[in-house]
Amino acid sequence: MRVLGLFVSITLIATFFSGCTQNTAKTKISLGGSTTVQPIADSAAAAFMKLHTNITVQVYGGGSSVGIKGVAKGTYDIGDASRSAVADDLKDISGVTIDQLIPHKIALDGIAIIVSKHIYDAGVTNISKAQLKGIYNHTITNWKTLGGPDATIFVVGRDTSSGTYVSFNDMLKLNETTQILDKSSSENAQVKAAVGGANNAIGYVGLGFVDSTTPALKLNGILPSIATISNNTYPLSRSLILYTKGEATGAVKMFIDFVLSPDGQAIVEQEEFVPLP
Amino acid sequence: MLLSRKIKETIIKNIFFISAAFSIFIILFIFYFLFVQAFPAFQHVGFGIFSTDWVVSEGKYGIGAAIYGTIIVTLGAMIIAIPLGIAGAIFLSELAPSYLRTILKPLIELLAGVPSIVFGFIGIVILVNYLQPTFGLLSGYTFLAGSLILGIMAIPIIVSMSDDAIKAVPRELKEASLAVGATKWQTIKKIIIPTSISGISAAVILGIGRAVGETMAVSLVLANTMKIPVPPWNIFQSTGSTITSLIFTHTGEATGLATNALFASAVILFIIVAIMSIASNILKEHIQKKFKGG
Repeated sequence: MRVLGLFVSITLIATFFSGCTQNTAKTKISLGGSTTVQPIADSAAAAFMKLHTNITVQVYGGGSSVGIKGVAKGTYDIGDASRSAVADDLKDISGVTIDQLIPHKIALDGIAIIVSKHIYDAGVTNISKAQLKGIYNHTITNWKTLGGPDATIFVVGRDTSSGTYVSFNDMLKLNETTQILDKSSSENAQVKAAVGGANNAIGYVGLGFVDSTTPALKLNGILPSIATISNNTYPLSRSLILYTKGEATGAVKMFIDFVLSPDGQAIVEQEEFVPLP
Repeated sequence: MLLSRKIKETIIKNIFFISAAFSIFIILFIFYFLFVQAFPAFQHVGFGIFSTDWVVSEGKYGIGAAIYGTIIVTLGAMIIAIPLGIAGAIFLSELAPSYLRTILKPLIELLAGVPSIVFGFIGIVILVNYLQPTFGLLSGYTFLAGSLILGIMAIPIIVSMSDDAIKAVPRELKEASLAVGATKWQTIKKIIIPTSISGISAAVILGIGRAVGETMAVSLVLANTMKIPVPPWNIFQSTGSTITSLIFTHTGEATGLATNALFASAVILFIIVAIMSIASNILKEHIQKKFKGG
């Protein structure tokens, strides 16, 4: 009974306070999906709500598939994704076709190749696309091949359902069956922890996760940076997309326009992604 | 007056009935949802679910590697937790002076309440980076790391429950043994352990149950790849996942049939845990009967 009483009083208090702040009817929009897009969405939502106090923006994570399915089902007003929607995403959802989902490209992201500091300091600072492919196919297994120390390569990747895994495989034309990982992680941060904690590891993460503890390699001689990704010279780049079901209208359109505005693109840059050129 | 008391009784009875029915309703709902979601995967891959081919892009959803991983990680955890747990329980209940017992027992129970993410965090920051250079491994993300973490997590459950079982051994039995001149060790070996063995077994099974179902800590320290090590008992190789870590790492981003395959693995995990929970209950009943009889 005490628990029930507590529950009732919390509900009452919560109702009271929400009553105080929500004296005018607010428009609510929700967006959810890719955890890569989430930092941009969070900051943009905060800035947007400051400009438009009558609109509430709720941001959810879950992954690109969740975002695409969510917007198709109507759970979210905007679904965000770090890959393009495919017909298979909508398999379980009746009455929605792929052309009804309108993509709004908001930013670019580069997949950076990171290595353990020990390897970088030992002189491995550049890798070719073919070498990278060789490492993930286990035809190259020792750092010696790349001019590094005599140590077996600890190959870190993403879990097979992740958008980054699919993008990485697509961009490198890697096959899921021939690929061998020594560690697969469900988050960028876990890849970084695995590579940073080891002295023999290679992995791939979003540009925002590169720092001096896990230095990025040059790929075909090009260092991943905002400049090289936006002018498309860096080989592993991808687009971050907001999906709407049908053309965006009302508050949803206002939000997307805000993300595309100079202020919104400044947020993209501040979150260490690459603004649209 | 009498009537109002009767009405009160009925109301209270119904409130309790609804509370009980609510939890039953939830478990039935989970059952239903799990099986409905898992069905398309079973239909698509059939017994292929037990194969070791997990290739999402080709629609192959064999979770054999994860089932194997669950078994080997749990075995490893039990090799660590069973001797330490039972020895700890014997010390706590029979050998420790009472002041030590009053400190140790709550501390061990506190250990059982440490959230698994904390174990996982310690595992990823300290254990994994310690195992790699110590054993000269490719990386510390191995079945060994998973077994160590799960073993440590299962110890407090085994200690606490075995301690209760040993405490339930009738005092007269112990005193009779000591009175005929048996040493403390002989009494423990010949009287206390045999008498409390079903309680200890129930504790061990519950410990295994925790190890099998544990997700967070184990996902963080395993390699999470869908491969069986070569040779299969090579717990030092950086590969392999458990059913729980498979579900955990893939849930966020799985699409279509892959999601159903995850539900199918949840069904298999559910069956394993249910069998163990039933076994533990049978053992518990067994111990109760035994003490009523003698």
